[in-house]
Amino acid sequence: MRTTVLLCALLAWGATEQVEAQETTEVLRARLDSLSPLLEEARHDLETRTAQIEDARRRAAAAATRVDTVRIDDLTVLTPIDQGADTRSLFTEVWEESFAHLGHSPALSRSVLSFQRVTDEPLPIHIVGGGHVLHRDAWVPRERVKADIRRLIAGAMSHDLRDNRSQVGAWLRGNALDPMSWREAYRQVATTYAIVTRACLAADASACGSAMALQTGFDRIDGPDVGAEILREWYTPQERRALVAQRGWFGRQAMDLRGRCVAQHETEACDEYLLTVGYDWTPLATDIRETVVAHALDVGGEGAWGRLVEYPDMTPAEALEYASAQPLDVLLEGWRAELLAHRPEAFEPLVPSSGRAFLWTLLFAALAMRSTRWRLG
Amino acid sequence: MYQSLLFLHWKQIRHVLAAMTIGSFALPLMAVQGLGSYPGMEAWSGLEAYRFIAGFQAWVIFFPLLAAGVGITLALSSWNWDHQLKHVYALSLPISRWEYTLQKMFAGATLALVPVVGMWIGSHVAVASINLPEGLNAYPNELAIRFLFAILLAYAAFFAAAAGTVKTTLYVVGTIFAFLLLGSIANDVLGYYVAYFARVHVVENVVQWLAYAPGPFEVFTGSWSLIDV
Repeated sequence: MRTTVLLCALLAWGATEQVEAQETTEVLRARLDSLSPLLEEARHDLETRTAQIEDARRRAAAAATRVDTVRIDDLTVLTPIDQGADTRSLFTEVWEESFAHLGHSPALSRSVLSFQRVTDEPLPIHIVGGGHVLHRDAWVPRERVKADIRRLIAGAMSHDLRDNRSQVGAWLRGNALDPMSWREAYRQVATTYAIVTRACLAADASACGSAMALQTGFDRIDGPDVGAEILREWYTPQERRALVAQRGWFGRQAMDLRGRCVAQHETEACDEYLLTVGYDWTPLATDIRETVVAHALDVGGEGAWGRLVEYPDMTPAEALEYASAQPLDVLLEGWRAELLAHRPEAFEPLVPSSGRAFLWTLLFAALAMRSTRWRLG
Repeated sequence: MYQSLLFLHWKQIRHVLAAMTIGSFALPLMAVQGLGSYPGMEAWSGLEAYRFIAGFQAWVIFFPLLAAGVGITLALSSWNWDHQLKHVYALSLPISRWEYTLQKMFAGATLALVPVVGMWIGSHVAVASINLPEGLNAYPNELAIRFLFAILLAYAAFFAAAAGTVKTTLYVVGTIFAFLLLGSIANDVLGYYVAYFARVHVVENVVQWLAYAPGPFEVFTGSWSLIDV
């Protein structure tokens, strides 16, 4: 009996110990869990503190930075103080070559640009809506530096067309002041699969305008007002079928139209499909439009940019006419002539290019025969 | 004499030349790889025209590089055995120096035709292997001609440089490198003191003149497109 009582007592004591041990584990776990928010808070504090220290370091560096401000007409350029003269010379050169004649640009005059050439860490110059040119650790040819500056200014200026929400800006959707090269433009026009672009290259300048949706109605949001008639003007039935075949949209109606167009050659189905899917089918889009606007600015000369952005409600065609001070057909004819003049010569005629190479070859051969190695006297 | 020099040069360079010829044959084929129409889309390949040009442009840089490589290899190898044998063989010949040099140069130029033929055949095969979209043209013959002139020019320039003593060659090459490197630095430094040098970079202008018409190396910077508008 005593043994039984002792055994029971021992068991009860063991169970109590076990319960106490379990409680301790749970308490510890609870305590650990309660530390997690504290840890998170500490980590957050540390990150905030680190960011504050880094920010203070940047501010101190910025305060210690000696920056020169270069102003040329609408341009404001920040540059390290020892590069002021060089920066002024470069920006003046680019400004006078490419932008000075175009007129006032509100967007540019609001922008602050930055320019620096450094061999180590760039200075922390703060800029406002303008962008910067930074060349590090390498000598860069002056022409390339100028091209970078030109791109910088063009980018800042082109905000005029977006800021005033003009129709011509919505039509352009690009940067007319930094267009692609004429050679590349020719390649793009020549390789665009549309009857209207072939007509444009062949002789018809008005077809060029049509291919860019210059003469169609234009909406700021929906883009060009495209109907079946203009589709037929742009593309042959086979070309429209090719467009449908290449681009697939899902949706029962679209799939049905696509099937009828591609498999059964139903031209009406092709047209309906193209008009349904809500895509801008204009054969010559942004890149080529940029070259037209750039040409209009060239032709327009003094104050052309100011005129282009002056009346936001003008249609693209009206804005181009106003900026260039030329009727649209004359402007397009000039653009087309320029385009054709820059047709890339895939291979220059034999005589000028290869002929010069041959003459240089002969010159080097003559030099080889004049070696001093065998001369005795 | 010409035949002996040709044979000697051929014997020395035939393995390298074979590799270069294979490279010249293969390069146009590699450049047009993947430019074909998708199955079932052959009739509508017009939509792909710009992709053809853009696709080929990625390879264009390799054509002038290959031409320069072939020309330089031919030029340096043509003088190799003369330099090794201290010009004893050449001096023992009963001909004048200029005549010997001219015949040696002709021999090397003849060998240049081998990779050019490789390029010509490769270009034609490459063009035949794809359906060209409307608006694009192929220029296999023109490409081969440009390749020939580029090789000849690189060959002649390095042949002339290697024709003198090693010391002379080192002087010439060293002067060019010194001009390019030190000239740039000097121009930048001078730019701080002389306004003219701040606006005009002499080295840049010289390089521009060398690389574009009427400079000697314009053939390398012209169009190397096998396919274009």
